[in-house]
Amino acid sequence: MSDESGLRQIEENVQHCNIEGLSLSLPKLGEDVSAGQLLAALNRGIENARKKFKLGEYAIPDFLLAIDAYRRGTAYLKDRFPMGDNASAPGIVIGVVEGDVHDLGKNIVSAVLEASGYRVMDVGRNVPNQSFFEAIESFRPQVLALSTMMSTTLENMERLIAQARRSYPEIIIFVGGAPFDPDLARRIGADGYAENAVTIPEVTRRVLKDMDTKQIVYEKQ
Amino acid sequence: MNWQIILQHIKTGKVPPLGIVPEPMLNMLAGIAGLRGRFQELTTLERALTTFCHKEPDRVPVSPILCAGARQISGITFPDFALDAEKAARVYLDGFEFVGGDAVILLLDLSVEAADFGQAVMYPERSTPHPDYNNPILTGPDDYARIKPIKFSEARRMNEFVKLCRIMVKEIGLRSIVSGFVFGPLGVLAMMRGAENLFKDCLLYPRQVKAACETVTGVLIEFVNAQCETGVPAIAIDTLFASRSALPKDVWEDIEGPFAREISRSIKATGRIVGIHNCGDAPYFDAQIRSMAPDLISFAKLPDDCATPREMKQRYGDQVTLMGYVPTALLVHGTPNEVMEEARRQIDVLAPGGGYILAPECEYPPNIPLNNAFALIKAAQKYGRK
Repeated sequence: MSDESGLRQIEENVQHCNIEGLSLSLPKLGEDVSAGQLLAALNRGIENARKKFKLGEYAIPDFLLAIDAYRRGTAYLKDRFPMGDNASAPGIVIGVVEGDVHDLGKNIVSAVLEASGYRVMDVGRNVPNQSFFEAIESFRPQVLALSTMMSTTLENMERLIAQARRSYPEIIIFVGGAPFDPDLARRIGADGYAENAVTIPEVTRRVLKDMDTKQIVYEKQ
Repeated sequence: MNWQIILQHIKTGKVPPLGIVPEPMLNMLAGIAGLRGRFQELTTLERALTTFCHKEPDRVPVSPILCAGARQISGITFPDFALDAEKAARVYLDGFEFVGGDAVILLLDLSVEAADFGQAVMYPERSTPHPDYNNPILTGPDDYARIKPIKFSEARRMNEFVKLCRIMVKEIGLRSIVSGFVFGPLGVLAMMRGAENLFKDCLLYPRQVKAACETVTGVLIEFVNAQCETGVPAIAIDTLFASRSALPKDVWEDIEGPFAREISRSIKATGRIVGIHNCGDAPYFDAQIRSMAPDLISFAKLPDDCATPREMKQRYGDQVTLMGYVPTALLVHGTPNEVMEEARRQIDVLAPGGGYILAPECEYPPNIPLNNAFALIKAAQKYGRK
């Protein structure tokens, strides 16, 4: 199998959520394949899956399986080409706020951001405010992304955002989840909001581009 | 038609099961009520009857779907509301007396059924109960086979909910329509497996998921039958997974559709109204109507095959009563005037011809002030009149 066809197969296995096929094709890659080439193939695969999800050709379960395949691929990549993190890429701390355990949307957003080249620190679900601050201290991200599916957590979320603003005035804050619309995101103090997980890379790019002016970006699909 | 059953219900102050009345008779009664509604205020029962028969009542019926939110009136904690039927009834009654509404939807939380299947549940003081996802019962696809039927008499939380239904039917009487509630089998399994894993399992292991659905559905049918016996005139089935934010339409129809149909049939066999609550994104109205033939759909977002509310009304308005869909976000941050304005917009499009109940897109947010619940009631009174 040529390097080119091997990489194409990897791209297609990710795109078509074929974890088994991916597991078989990864070790068959030639020795000449570089880390950059493999990462590019994995990224193309997940990006194609994201586009299908955005167009409604993929449902959530399809996209979740594509994410699993992508993560299998990146785990293999790290094993085969041990290397440090890409420290120059923008960093994002992401988590579900305290009082909420629904992390499906957060997991998708986290995977999509990772696949889009960001350094992502996923702090999990039902995360106490203090843990977000500890993560910011250690990871030094440009973006703090907060998720919730419930309305009962909004009061605390507002407090968390206000405290983050005071302690880390440079940080960009995103919010997402079922209770939000652009207006509520703005009122709660966020800089960005994406209605759908698949639009998050575009929103992130735009927000980071406008970082100096702190222009608020709200994306509706 | 069994007149005795109907008279017995009315005599004992209960709303009779509308399904046992022949359709021509219902239509005639609704027509009379509709006519009377042009000149006089109707009773809640007349208003509901007129609405379900797709005729215009005196005004648009309204329900703020005030559930745990009414704890603020009663000072009762979330855990007490979830676990003690008498305290939950106090909350619902306070909410009804204080705020009002034409329908009272009984909903404790979505972990009621799963808790009785043995799922560990967390009961926070200031938020809705939820499964302990660090300790799911179903840790892998093989575990679906471990789900066994449970004895309904030993199902503590479901029986507490049935007790709540009984108290509410007695206390509310003919003043409002009291609706029971059941989470669909996939929803119950999601509480025990986690939604993300369940979604993937539906594609990778559909046979195992269906087998578990069958077991769960057997218990859910006992649950809805017990609710019907209390005298509730309606039951809402929550089929969250029949939406684009969950499963593809064909997968939902294949996996949960047949079981949702069985639950709906059991409810309809007693003459009760079948409602669907689906607060997912782009719900599949067509698939759910095929499967459950509901009388009502309570929704949060437009169905997947409609681009505008007007199109939704045209396509589905004569098949089901539509209930919704004031956004949660607006209830959280909007002023009462903004909520009323949104309600007016929805009434203008969805109320003509009947078959519409003004309501939030989901349960009234439990921790926010009740101003906007009042705004919904006020909007129906102000903008919903003929």
